[in-house]
Amino acid sequence: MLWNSVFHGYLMIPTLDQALAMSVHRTPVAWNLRWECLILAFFELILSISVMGHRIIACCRMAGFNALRNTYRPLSSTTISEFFNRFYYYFKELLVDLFFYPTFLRYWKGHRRMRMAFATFAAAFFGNAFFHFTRDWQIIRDDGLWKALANYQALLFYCVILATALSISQLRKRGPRHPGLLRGHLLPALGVGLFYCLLSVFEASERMYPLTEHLRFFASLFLIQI
Amino acid sequence: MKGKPEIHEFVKSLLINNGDDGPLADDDSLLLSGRLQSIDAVEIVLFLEENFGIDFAVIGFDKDQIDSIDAIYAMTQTSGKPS
Repeated sequence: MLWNSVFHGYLMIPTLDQALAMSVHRTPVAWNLRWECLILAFFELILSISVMGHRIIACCRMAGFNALRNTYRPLSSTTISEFFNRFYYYFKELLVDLFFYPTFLRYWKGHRRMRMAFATFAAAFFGNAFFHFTRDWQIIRDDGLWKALANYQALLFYCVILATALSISQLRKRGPRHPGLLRGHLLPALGVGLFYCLLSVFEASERMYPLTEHLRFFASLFLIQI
Repeated sequence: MKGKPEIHEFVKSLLINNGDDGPLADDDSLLLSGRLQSIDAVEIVLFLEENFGIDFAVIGFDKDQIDSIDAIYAMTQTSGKPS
């Protein structure tokens, strides 16, 4: 409530969904507001997932179960895969158990890098997309399978980019961190945050607009008109 | 064939990579306790495949099987082949 009244009320920063809708209707908000709402949406998402997860984990722990945290210091992540692990641990574990391990243990055994990339795609692309598609089964019921799939293009694009980035992040050799605060922590963490911020453009207003509208909004962040 | 000391050393290196240089007992939980992550489980799988000839596609995979040094060593005794 306080968050909304300060940022969306007093400071009049639109939500990402509102900014995207205005872009779709060709009355885009100012460039600085587009970035502000994007960054704000990123923090709102982290806060809402953290609060949701901490509530459930708190209940589990009060009941005596030694459950691991769900969200754990995501902003300190210095790699894209580390953020994915810290942001929503149990969803990631679901994808890893159901899609990553079965793929990793069976396919491309002779090619280590290909094996890792293929299994990551199985989890972060196929598993992620499959989960969200089947989660909203009412849309398939109401619109039919083909229309539901067609409306899913922006989220499919989101999953492809995420899976590609996670694959690259995991394939890069993990070496010792740079000891400095700026190069070792701050700059990598900012880069990771920026990546997820920009990626969230394709997650906003799920299934309402075609991919081209998300791409138009994305390009407008860099003052490019398409 | 490698033995428990090599497994201990390998797990220790994974923990140090994650910035965890705390004490490590052979029966300490690694994955279920959160000390190691899923990506580290992949490293353990690769280590066991390469050094003990274990094929998880055949024997099935469960995180409990590799959750401690004792569990890993026990599995190498039952499912491993000399490499």
